[in-house]
Order: sequence, then C-alpha cells, then structure tokens
Amino acid sequence: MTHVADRYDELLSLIHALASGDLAFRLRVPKAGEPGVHDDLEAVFLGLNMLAEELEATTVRRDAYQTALDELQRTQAQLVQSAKLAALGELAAGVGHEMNQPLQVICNHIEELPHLVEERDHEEILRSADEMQDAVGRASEVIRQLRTFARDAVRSEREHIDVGAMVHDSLVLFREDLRVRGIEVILDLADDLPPIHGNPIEVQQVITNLVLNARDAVTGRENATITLRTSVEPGAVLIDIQDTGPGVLPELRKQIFNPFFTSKSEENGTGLGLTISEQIMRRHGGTLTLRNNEPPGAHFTLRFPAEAP
Amino acid sequence: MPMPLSLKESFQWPFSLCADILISALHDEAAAAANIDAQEKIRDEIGVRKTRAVIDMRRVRAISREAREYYANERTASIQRATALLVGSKLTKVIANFFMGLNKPVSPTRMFTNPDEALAWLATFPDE
Repeated sequence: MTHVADRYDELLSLIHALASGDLAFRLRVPKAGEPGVHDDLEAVFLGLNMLAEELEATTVRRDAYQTALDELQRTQAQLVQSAKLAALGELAAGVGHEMNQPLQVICNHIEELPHLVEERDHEEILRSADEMQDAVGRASEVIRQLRTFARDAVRSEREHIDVGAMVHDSLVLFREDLRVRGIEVILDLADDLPPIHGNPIEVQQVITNLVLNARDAVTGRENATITLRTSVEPGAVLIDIQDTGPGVLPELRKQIFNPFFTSKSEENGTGLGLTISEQIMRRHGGTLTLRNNEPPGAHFTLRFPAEAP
Repeated sequence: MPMPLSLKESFQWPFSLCADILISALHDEAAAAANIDAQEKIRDEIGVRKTRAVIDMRRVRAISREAREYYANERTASIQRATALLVGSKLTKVIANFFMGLNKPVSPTRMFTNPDEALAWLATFPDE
C-alpha cells in the first residue's frame, strides 16, 4: 500500500513550484481504491492542491488590489496638483485685482495733472502726488508679498512663523478683490503671539483657502463680513476665520472635509481645498475644525501647537 | 406531506423541510447553481421561506473553487436555512473543511458522518 511518505518527491515538487511562483502547479491526485493507494494519500494530495488553488486566487486578488491602489494614488496626486493649479489661478486673479486698483488711481491722477499744472493749483498737485505715492506703496506691498510667496514656495523646510504677520500678508493679495465685492474684513489680531513652527507656504495656503471660501460664501449678501482673529491658549496659537454667509448645514458638517465635497459649481471648486487644508494642519501637529453656526455663518478654527519659548 | 427530492431508506423524514441533494463526483459552478436551483424549487413547492438541507457529498472526489464560492454566496444563503454536510472518507472531510473554513458559508453549516445526527441537528432550526 502506498502512503504519503512514499510520495515525498511529488510533495516537494509542489512546494518548490509554489515557492518559485508557479502557482498554477498541481499534483496528480491518486484515487483511493486504485491498487496500492491509501485513503490518506488521496485526501492529502487533494488538500494540498486546494491550498495551492487558494494561494493562486489570493495572489491574483492581491495583485489586482495593488494595481487599483497604484491607480488611485496616481489619480489622487493628479487631483491635488489640479487643486494647486486652481489655487494658483485664484492667486493670479487676486494679484490682478490688487495691482489694478493702485494703477487706476495713478492713471486718474496723471490724467488730471495737466489741468492742475495749467491752473497752477499747487495744493491739488501736491495732494495728487501724495495719493499717487500711496498707490505706489500699495502696489509695492502686493509685489513684496508675491515675492515672499514665490520665495517660500521654493523652500520646503519649516521655520518660525509670526502668525499675525502671516494673516495680515495673506489678505494683501485679496484686499482689493474683497473691497470690490463689498466685503468688510475685520482683523482682531492678538499682540505677542508665540511663534509657530511650520512651512510658511503651506500655512499661507490654508489661511488663503479659508479666506477665499469665506469670500465666496458672503459675496452678494447683506452685511458681508469676514472676521480673522488670532488668539493664544496654553500651548496653542489659534486663528479663527468667520464669515456672515449661510454657514454649513448640520447634515453636511461631517462631509465638508471629505475629498471632492463642494458646494460650489464645477468651475469654481475642486472639492479638495478643505481636505488639503486639514492634511496640512495634521502635518503641522494641529487641527482644522468647523465650529457651530453661532452666530450664523461658517466659523473655522486653525489650532497650531505653539513653539516653546 | 411534500416528498423530498430523492428518497433514501436510511433517512427518516420527520418534517417536510429537508432536501437530500446528491452531489455528483466532480462538482463545478454550473453544477452548484443547478443544485441551488433545485433547492429553490423545493422551497417554493413546500411553501417555506428557506430549506434545511442535507448535502450528501460522500461520493464527491473534487469540488471546484468556484462551486465552493457559489455555495457560500448570498443567493445560497437566501434559500438555505441550515446545511448539514454528509461526509465519509478523509477526502470528503478535507473538502468539507475547506468549504467551511475558507469559504465561510453565511448560513449555519456543519459536517456529519451520521445521517441521523445530521437530521437531528437540522431539526433544531425552527421553520421559517
């Protein structure tokens, strides 16, 4: 009677085949009842073949999952890049607005100058010169902020960040746009805030994203206001960005940080802004939370760990 | 009382809800689907929501992976209330263990070598 021990070579051939990646290899199963074939032999050989079959199926499934995961990661990277480009577009539009206003002031005064010279209205000429100088100053500030933005975009290291200055600078690039839309901006910046440690470009990206969301929420509404407030708690620096828009519906509060969730039209929102912002905050050891709509409007809080003195 | 699919003298039929399904020696997905179709027909004829089935696999030599997956799927679970697998040889025990361990059928499934014990276990499941 042939037993399992007499067929070691065949069993080893299965083991070697599977180990070398030949997952389709199967043993020839002897039939119990054939001359000299013991019951055990059939059961063991069939059992091993079934194990090999399961291993093959599991490997195929794993490879399929891996392919799907790779594709998902590629798509995610593309979408994040797309969101960044969209943000860049917003920035460019903001810069355009901000530059246009002082240039318009300068143009208007230049047009007036010949008349003022002809009329020898020295007082008015000096006043015009002052206003043009102010306009040049505002334009210079926009360009300075843009340069800072571009410089920080190249760097990826972390450094000390003055949160109050960061909030102020973030608004420079959109001040004119907000004014044209009739949006009042209230700044309530605490003195002597401890610095935070982070990537300036990423932190500015988060603040900009929230300000733009607030802008879109209040545009066209009465008493359109965006409030930016900085404060300190033990071990943390907070930035609150609040608007007088419609707020976030209770049933949507849990979804707003989900990828691709947006209340904007397809042209105006990728649905990744808050997702990316939340990820940036987590990387900085902080949080981005949505507070209750009391008073009405959206109220986001950025909480950064404060640097030790 | 409705008759079971096939009469076995060694089986007693104390209740009308058992179905004795014979599995052929080599069993693939098509055969599994036909098997479940037959159980579904019995269920409708008896007029219950789900069957309690004795699956006699003592003559089975091999069962394909696809067939095992079919027996463990939701469609089967929607028809079978509980399943007793009747095994004999070591080979059929290996097959039954693979089915219960890897495929994890949704409805309660147990292995028996004694038909009476199989029936007694099925009787513990109330009619549906």
